[in-house]
Amino acid sequence: MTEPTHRRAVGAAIVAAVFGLLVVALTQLPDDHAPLPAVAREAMQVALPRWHITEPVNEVVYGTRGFDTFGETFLLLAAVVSVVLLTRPRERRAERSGEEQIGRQEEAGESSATDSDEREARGAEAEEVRDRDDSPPTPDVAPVGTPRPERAEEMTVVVRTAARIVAPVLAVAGLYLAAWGYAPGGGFPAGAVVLGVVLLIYAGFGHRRIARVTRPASVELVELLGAIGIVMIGLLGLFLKGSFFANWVPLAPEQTIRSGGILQLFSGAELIEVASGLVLAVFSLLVMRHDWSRDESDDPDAGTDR
Amino acid sequence: MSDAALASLLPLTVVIPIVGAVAAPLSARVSRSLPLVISVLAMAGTTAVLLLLAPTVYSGHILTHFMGHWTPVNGKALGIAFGADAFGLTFALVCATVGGILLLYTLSELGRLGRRELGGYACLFQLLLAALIGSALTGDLFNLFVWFEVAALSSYGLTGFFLERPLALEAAFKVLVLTTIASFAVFVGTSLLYAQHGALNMGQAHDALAGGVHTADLVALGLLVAGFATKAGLVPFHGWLPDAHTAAPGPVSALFSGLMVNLGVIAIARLTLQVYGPHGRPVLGLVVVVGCVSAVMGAWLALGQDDLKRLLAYDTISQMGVIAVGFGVGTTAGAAGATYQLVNHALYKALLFLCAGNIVHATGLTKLSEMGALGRHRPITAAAFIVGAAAIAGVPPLNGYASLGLIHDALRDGHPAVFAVLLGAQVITIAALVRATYLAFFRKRDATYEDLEPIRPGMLTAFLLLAVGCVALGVLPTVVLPHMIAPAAGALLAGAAYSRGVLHAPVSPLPVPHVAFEYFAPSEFGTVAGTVLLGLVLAWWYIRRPTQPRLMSLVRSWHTGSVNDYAAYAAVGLIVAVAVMLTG
Repeated sequence: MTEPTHRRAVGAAIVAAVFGLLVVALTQLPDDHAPLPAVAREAMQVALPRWHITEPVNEVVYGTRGFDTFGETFLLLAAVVSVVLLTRPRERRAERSGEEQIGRQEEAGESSATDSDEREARGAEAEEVRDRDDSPPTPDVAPVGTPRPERAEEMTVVVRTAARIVAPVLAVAGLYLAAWGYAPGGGFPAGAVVLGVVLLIYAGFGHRRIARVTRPASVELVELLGAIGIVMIGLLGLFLKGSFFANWVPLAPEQTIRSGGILQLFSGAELIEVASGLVLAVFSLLVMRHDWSRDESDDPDAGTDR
Repeated sequence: MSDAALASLLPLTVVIPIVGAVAAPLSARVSRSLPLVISVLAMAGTTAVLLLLAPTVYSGHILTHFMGHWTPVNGKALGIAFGADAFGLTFALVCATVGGILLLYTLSELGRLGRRELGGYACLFQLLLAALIGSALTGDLFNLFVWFEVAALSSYGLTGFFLERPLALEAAFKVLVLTTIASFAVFVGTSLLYAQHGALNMGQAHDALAGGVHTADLVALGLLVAGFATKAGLVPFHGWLPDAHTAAPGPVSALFSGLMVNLGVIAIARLTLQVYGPHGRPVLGLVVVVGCVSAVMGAWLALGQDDLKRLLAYDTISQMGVIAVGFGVGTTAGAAGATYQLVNHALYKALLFLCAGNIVHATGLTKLSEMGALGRHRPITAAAFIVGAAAIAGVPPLNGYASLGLIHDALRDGHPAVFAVLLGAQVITIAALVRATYLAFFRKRDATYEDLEPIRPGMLTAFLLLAVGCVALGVLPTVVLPHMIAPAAGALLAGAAYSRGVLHAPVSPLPVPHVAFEYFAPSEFGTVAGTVLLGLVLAWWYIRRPTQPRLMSLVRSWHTGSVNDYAAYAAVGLIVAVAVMLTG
């Protein structure tokens, strides 16, 4: 296969045409001053009082249209499992398959132009591994001001101190987003913030510091438990109230931490699911170092399954 | 059980496979085969729930349930409805049963792979099935988008499953790019409809559109049709499909071709016939044209393929085109024929892809030119493949005969040109399958195959169940037609009644239309005999040619393999679709 040609003019024309059609449609829509659609009015006038909650976005996302969020939870699970599957190391298989044979042929048929790049990348990776072995156990042990080149996987004392101060604040802010359901927020954004905390620590202190927390096996367990929790919240609605995702928790007064019935539970379970799912996906990519094009015999990961 | 109690079980049809999907990676820690065993059981449970609903739905009722009891206020719905009409339930049933069979096959053939990779595989497989069932049953436009996305994200991981093949990751990337364009189109289309009418419920959207169609509605329909046509693999949105099918494991190709592409066709049929109804007229013409082009081009490209799975993938494009034509005609016979054909296609294409996947997995060969004499070495696979190929060819008493006959009936009088095009496509399709069957199974091959693994009981069961399905749906049209296909077509064409149904208004049972099909009509027998004969001649001519015809080289040269080009084709298709809506 030859390198694809970039026809910029054709691309620009297509983009412009799509843009033009969207503009045509957008200019035909009712303008900002048009009255709210009935559905939106229903959310404000009917649904908010019935959920005992004052935040319309949370009410729609986890309450009245919670089933969409339920679907999106599993959209996320599909994305995470896809990433984990596509970044997985080789596993020991109990039998030979024709696909392996085809894979070897397809590789042999590929151009060898990338060979030097590939060798260079592998060399760099090997060096990094060697580097890691003679570095101090944590970056904090290294005396400040030593005139040695910094390693890619740790930061200066300034960054580390900043991370130490910011990470707890960020973590509290994230949990607040999920816990106080009557304010804008909820489990989805809160989960993303938790990922931010983990990445901050990773950036400041290197992978080894958080390797224990981000072990795929345990993060995956947490994620799947979060997913089961969400399914259970919905199913209890079906068994207790006759409808999937019907509210079965007594409604507390508005503007308290418990207001909103199952909405808060759902949001909390979502926090677990999203936070662990994103951590799993990101760290699967970060620590990905398997190489499927190598021969199985020199693969250090082969046989780790048993 | 009362109808309301029955309807409240509807969400279980997606929740059961989702629970199975969550349990799969967990159970993979315990044992290698447990994830797949759980998956098979989950699909059996889903099928049981659907069968519980079937008698009520097929008698013409629409079972509607609003999640969390958030029923409409003054005919405006904020809550999400699952509305099971006979059309949606038919596909939910097909997904659950065929999906279960494919999982059983996987357990038998691939159950010795690594345990973690099998856990991920079973998880994604079930999420994809849940998404397909959800999109068949949902009565809510945004919820349809959510299931569309779940299906899309699960398909990426499954496409790239065999990482030892460099092609797999490349294919996954192509699927990713084209499906993302499609989901953008679907999302913007749905948003435009909401912005214009404040409607997410399909019934509410139908009522709002009946009051007058605006420019934004037409752009929205163009975008929605383009987006779902990508999922359906219709030309020119088809670039992702051949690669994805080639690189994926056999049962995954069967899932993609037999079930996943249906999502696109079902959504197009629902949107054009039920939601827009008579207010989106030019769209049906567009669907027929796109269908004709797909039917011919898919078949022609299938004829020229050397890779067996790629050949079948192009045939899927062709079949989806035929089905789109059936829906696009918009008559009872057309809708019934297309629905019937979609069910049949799920069975025989799943069967064919299992056979192809089995050959690839056992021999390590993908190219027809390297195969041969497999009829002697793998007689069971050969027999199953021949059943599937004969069913597509419309040979009685297999199921393709009845469904193709219905589509032909719908076209014979009013649309002679379209009829002629479909017959041409049918001849080429038959030639492509005859060529594949001959080259793979009956051609002489001097070298023998090394240690072919035996066909295991689970694989045999899957072959048998699908083949029996092909025969049963073919010999029993007098049962299948009035009790399953006719109610589905009736529901599809009764947009106003469906709209009342998914808005929770009381609705009397839909009348089941009478779909006449004369099994022994001489004209249909003549058509089949003629196409099969011409197909054999074409196959013979093509196999004997030393080089490929110039027309084949031309059409194949458009398929550069570059995702940039495929994205450009899809974008141009999108522009044309919207332009047709605005000017037609």
